[in-house]
Amino acid sequence: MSEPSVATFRVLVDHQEITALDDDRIEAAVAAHLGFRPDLLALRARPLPFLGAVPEPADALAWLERGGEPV
Amino acid sequence: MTAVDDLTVAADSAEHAAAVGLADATAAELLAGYASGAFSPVDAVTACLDRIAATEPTLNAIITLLAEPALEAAADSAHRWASGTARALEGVPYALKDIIATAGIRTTGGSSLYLDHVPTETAAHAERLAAAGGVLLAKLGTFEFACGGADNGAFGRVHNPWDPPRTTGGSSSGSGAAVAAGMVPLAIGTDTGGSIRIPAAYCGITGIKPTYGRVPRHGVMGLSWTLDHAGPMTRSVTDAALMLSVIAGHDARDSSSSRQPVPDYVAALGREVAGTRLARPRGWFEDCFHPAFAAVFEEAVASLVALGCEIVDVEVPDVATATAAAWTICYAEMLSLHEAHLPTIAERDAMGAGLLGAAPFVTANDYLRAMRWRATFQQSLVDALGDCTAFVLPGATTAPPIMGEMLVDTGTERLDWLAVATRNHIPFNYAGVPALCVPCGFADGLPVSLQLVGRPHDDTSLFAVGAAYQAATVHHSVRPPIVSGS
Repeated sequence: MSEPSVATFRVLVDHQEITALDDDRIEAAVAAHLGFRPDLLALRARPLPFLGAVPEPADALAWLERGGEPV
Repeated sequence: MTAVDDLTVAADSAEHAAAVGLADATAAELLAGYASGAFSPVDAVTACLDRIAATEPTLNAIITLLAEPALEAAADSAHRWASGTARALEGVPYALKDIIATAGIRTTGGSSLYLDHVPTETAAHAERLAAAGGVLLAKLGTFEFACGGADNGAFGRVHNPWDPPRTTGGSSSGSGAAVAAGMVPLAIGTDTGGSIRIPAAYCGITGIKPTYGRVPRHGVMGLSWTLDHAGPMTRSVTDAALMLSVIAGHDARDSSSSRQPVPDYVAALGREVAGTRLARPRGWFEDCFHPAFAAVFEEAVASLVALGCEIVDVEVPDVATATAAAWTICYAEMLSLHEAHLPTIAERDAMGAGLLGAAPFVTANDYLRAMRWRATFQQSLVDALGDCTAFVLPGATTAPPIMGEMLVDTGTERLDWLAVATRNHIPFNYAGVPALCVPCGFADGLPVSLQLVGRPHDDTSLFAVGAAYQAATVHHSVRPPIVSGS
């Protein structure tokens, strides 16, 4: 899988109409992204089901409120 | 029995407070002294002001000093003690990290953008401290918006009381320095990826990131609503329990605020801990461990064993992935909260500007994946805990870095401080579970810290173990050279 480049990030910034990031800032952002990219890819590789017990963001808050007890 | 009643019979004594000097007394000792009439809140506030005058030129921990209103409030508190109407924290000086709103008192966020910002409303937990009779003495230094880095362009660096060229860590930099130096016995910090616990570890004090939602965030400048926590920074576990007892509880203005009843944290302090099983997750959490700090940590673990605790080696799976997920959430929510600050990003302090600059590149799917996988990690964390009560791990694996270079020494290499300092903390922000740091000794004259991490809403067990540890050791009572003169 190819790694994102400065040019890729520039396109993303432009698409979001963020005008405040100069080239140095984007280069730093790419470096930061690449630094944790292996772990991000590991996160992306985690299967999240579509059927059955489908995890949603609110599940984490509910788990906390239950004192860590499973449903 | 109220918390005040509890403390009048606590082991901490007014005599000890008088002996060490009121600026170095714990809140529990101050309350005991007020109750007995040994000294008054005015005496304590005056002692803290004297300490501030002596140490602030070196430490730069304070953004706004509130001497006159504090002395007036202390006088009112003295009347309450005399009239028998004292409240839980009556007359105890405290301070707030300056991202916490205070009505009528400027709240800068540690940023030049808010130099003259005066809120009209006080943060929920700050209201509770005031209502409990606490005396607000200062608003404290912070990394800009709780993420800007040790070099604060608006207010300058906060220096570590143990070695002023070193950072306090952050982002609750002023809270760490002020409590360690005896400027105040109690401070509030906030913690998104370790910002209570890192300065607690680096400054040799006690700090707890309570269970997520336990302390309302209403009125706190946000960095990441999923990861942000507010909590006590103190010089003893007893004081942390006392302070959390006051600030914990539901607030309807914070949609993530827990509705769980607030337990009696102070009552947990005397709980027997012999037989308590503690899970030690090595691997990730003991990587990057400087040998001198590791040796002190081993002694601390041995002290827990001597108390009757059983240490069980465990594996926590997927910590690196959880860390990446947490940073993904932090980036995304930081951009959402601070989008209006992007046009002035060149004027923001370096670390925060770097994080904010990288934030636009987190995709919506990555953010949502991180949010959805959170429950999976939470359950795997509790599964790893098994029948143990809490995890025990280092609060910091290295000495605090020298400001200017901000590299930590692991004994084999010098690494960027942020990744090393946060790696033992941010997984627990992601999980939302409580985490307590206590000082556990010294390496090369600098504090070493032990961290206890528990199940959600079992902050009480952390207090029980932490208090037992502090009852058996003296590390939390050792004062930094700037105070002791040694």
